[in-house]
Amino acid sequence: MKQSDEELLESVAKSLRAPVRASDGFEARVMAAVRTPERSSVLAWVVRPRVLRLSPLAGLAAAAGIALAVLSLDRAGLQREQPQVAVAPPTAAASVDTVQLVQFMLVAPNAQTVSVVGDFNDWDPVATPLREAAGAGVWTITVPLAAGRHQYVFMVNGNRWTPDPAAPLAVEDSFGMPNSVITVGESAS
Amino acid sequence: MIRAIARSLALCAILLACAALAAGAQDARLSARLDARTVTAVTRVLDSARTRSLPTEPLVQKALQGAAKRAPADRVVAAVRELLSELTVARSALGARSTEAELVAGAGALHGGVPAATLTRVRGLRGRDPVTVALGTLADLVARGVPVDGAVSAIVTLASRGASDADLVTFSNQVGRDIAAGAPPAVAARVRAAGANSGARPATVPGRPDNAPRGGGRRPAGQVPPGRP
Repeated sequence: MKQSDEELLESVAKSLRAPVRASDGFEARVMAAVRTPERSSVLAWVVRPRVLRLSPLAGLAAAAGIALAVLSLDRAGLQREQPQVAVAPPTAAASVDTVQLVQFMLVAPNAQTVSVVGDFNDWDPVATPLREAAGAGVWTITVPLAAGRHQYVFMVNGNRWTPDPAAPLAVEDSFGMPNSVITVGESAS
Repeated sequence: MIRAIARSLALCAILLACAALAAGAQDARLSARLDARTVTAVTRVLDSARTRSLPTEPLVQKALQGAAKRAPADRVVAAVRELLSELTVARSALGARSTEAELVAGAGALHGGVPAATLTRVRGLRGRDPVTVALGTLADLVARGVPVDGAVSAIVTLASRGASDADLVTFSNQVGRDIAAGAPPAVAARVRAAGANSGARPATVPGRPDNAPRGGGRRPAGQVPPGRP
């Protein structure tokens, strides 16, 4: 029994020791694959996995960098969301943000619609429509304006730009259609 | 240790670059109302303003104004660039702590031909008070036809006497009414400034039948109202 086991093991080992014959061309294909250049040294460097070890100090520095980046993004977003609010300088005591209610008025008896369009509503012709008072042709609206010099113009019937006949015209006329101008002070004086 | 710090610095640089890219992203309001080429050109101007720490909102509004008035793209970009130049000069003349409102008013005055040195002078005369209304009034006078020299003289005189924003608004309205009644703009500004300086009742302006105020009434201080047509 023991003898037969040894013979069996010997026969198995013999078969394992025998050289394996691969199919024709196998060796050539393997060598060709080995000789193929890498895709790109940069790409290989990027996709190659690696272990990143950070000391506590380096970790703190990285965290500070992330916090700084997030704050920068946050501030940039806030500036876009609140474009109309003037920012007071930190130490200018006399410069106080002021928002005043301003009434715009236009007499236009034959108008179907009147709106006020200016730098306080992104020059949107439909954002701030005036209301006609009891069909008398007097169109009004009250708008809160931040401190500053604002340019505006009335839009009558959705297609006619009309400067405010009672307000000064802006000296700037970049687009060939004059604007009216209103100045809202920053101080209460 | 050195490698770890180097890695951290590199990481911070990448994150800061991402933040800078986000800050320079295109304004959605522009993208919605201007073609892509114009948005790109205007965004470059906005980026330039940011690097100079100048406000970008007035530039955005200038571009939106052009879009609302259906101005050609080249004209929109040129107007935005011109305003950036004026804001730059205004900030230089008025100081780094100037508010956005002051810079816009200063840019308006410069556009009307007021010398930059006048802005600096008005700033000095107003002390720590804002100069928005003073410069806005100056630009209004020029727009009403008052020669630049006369307008500057009137505002400088009023400012040197400590005129408040409300005084300047009253002065501007009076000059506007006088001009509408037929007074020569230069004369109206000179006479009204003299009257305001003396503390006396408003002088009679040549060419105007009477000085009685027409319509309107008292308005909030520091505000030039759109009056009654």
